[in-house]
Amino acid sequence: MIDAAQEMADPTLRPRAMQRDRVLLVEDDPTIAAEIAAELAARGYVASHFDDGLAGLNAALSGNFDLLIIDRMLPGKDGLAVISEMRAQGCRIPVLVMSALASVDERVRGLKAGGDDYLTKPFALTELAARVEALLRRPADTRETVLRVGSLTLDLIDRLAFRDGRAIELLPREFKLLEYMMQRAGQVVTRAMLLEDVWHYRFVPQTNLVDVHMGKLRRKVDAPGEAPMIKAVWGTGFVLSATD
Amino acid sequence: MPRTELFRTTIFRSAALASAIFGVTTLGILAVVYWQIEHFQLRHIDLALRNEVAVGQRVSPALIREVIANRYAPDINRPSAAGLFDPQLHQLAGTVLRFPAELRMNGKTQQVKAQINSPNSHGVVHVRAIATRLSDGRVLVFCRDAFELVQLRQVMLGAMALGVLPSLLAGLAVGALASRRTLQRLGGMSQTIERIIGGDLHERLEVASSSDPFDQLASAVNHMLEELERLMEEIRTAGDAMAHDLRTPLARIRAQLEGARTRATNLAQLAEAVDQAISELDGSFSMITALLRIAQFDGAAGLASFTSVQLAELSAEAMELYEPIAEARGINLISEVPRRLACEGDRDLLFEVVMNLLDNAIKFSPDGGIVRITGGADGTAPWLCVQDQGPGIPEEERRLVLRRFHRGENARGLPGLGLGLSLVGAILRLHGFDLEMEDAQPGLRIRLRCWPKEVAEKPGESAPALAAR
Repeated sequence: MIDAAQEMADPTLRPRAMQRDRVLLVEDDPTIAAEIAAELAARGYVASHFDDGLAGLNAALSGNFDLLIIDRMLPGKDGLAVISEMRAQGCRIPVLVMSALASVDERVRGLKAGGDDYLTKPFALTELAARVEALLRRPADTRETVLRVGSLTLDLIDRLAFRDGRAIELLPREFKLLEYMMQRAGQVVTRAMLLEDVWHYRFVPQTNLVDVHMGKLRRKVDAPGEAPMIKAVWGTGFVLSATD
Repeated sequence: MPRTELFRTTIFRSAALASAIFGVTTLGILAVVYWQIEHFQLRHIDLALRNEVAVGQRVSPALIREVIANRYAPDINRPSAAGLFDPQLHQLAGTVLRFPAELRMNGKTQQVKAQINSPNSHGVVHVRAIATRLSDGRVLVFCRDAFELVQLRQVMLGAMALGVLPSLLAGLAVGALASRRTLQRLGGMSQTIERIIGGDLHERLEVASSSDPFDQLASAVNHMLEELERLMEEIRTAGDAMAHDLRTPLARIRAQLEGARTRATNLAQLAEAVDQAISELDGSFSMITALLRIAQFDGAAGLASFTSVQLAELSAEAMELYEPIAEARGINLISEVPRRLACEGDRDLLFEVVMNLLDNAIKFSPDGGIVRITGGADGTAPWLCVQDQGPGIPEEERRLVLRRFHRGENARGLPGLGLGLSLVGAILRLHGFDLEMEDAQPGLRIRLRCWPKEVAEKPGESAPALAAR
């Protein structure tokens, strides 16, 4: 059970509403699988675990799951083969690929096979959780030209940002960053996600680049006296949410 | 060596092929000669026969029988045989005893079988014959034995056998000998190679004084073995360094965890130890990733897909990324890279290089200082320069850094530059590019030289004079 204190500390630990997301986990290493399953359960997902590629494929095709987390190296059937097969059979659920193979080429292969995201091992469980949430709550392809989160407005055509009528001066990259955060309002976004999706940078630099950029953005969006909309989540990343 | 191997070598096959071609050519020539001579002879015979027909036709019918009987009596000196036949083709006179069945009476010479009574040929023989019908219905036949042709044919065959066969055998013998020599040479080489494979890298192939293909091959292989020996030595030392770099953080983690286990008195202390361990592990993983990438780059020479990379764009992007950090410390980022400056390379990797250089420059720059990125070209080779106003690196250390960098040694002991520079080194080796360091007085100037592919000999070997310096 999740208590109020925990919920306040980590906004990602929200109890799920009526329908809980069902996550299929296909991973042959028992230790890693146990940890992931525990993390998913703690966050309110219903997790099912298989340690074999073929069994995983059958489970995926059964249509009982909302998301698949799959390792590449599997007995029975290779992870990428499972994904290709799934897609060929018309299964459209989001897929998160895990692998120790880190090169850009391998990542491309994973995504080409039908994966939606690619995580290299080892990764932080919070990273996994953030990405799972991101995949389940993918921003719909709307034709919306204006994004609104709480008192924050982003005009995508005129490239203008306002908070409560106050104009916010943003550099092009900051605008992209804010757009990204607003599209994922309420979700925790990790530094890795930001580096990959906003800066298209694969290999994480040593310095705290993201933090510095985010710091600047926060100062612009959250003026002194205003309730902070962008918060840092310790150990994971950042989240933008309406201040209600 | 086994018998069959002798005949399977390329050299033997080449010799056999050459002999065969020579043999066939000679046979061909002889055949053509024979054919020409035969043709000439036949024409000669045919001409003679037609003359005799012409003569015979001019003789008056009353006398023809006598002429034939007398002139064409069996005579060893007379090459032609003749025969006079009545309209029903019964023999009337002459040495042609029976009218040759296949002979057509069209006044043209033909090759037929005929029964002839003459000292030169008895019984049924092959002849060249011609027949013509006289005005009174009787038929006149002249033939000539192709005896000379038969003799010629035998002479030719003899020549062929006598000439061609021995030379063929000689060719094969030479092939076999050369083949044996080759096999001996190869045998020697493979024995040496077996020893090398067995682990003795110091061995070298024997190089005779001749500069035949074998010696060239042996020289090339020896050169390769030297390179191999050198690389293995490097790997051995690098391996030691790598082992150290990987084991140290793990050793640290172990020590910390063990210490915490023994001495921690509350949950918070244990949690802290766990956090530290996680942090160190992440560091180790970064190092492993970097090392794997470096190994991958060093092995991928020639496999990377290069495009034209706009250097001004690259530095602008890097600068934009570091803008907030620089701003926070009052550092001024200036870019003076000419617009059209471009080089051939992997854009993502080169971006990483520029990021690394900029990262270092900013790290070492004093607050409020200037970090400048400039670009230019030396002929066809563009260069990019990152300059800071920091403490710089003393000359001796600069040399050390560059030497290690060029040799691809891990960057342990390079203060503050960490694994980043090793990765930069691997990326630059992949491209055949170079790094130079100068004293900017004050500060450090790092120059990235993007040699075009034609200038850089091969990745790993620096172009003009750098490893030496």
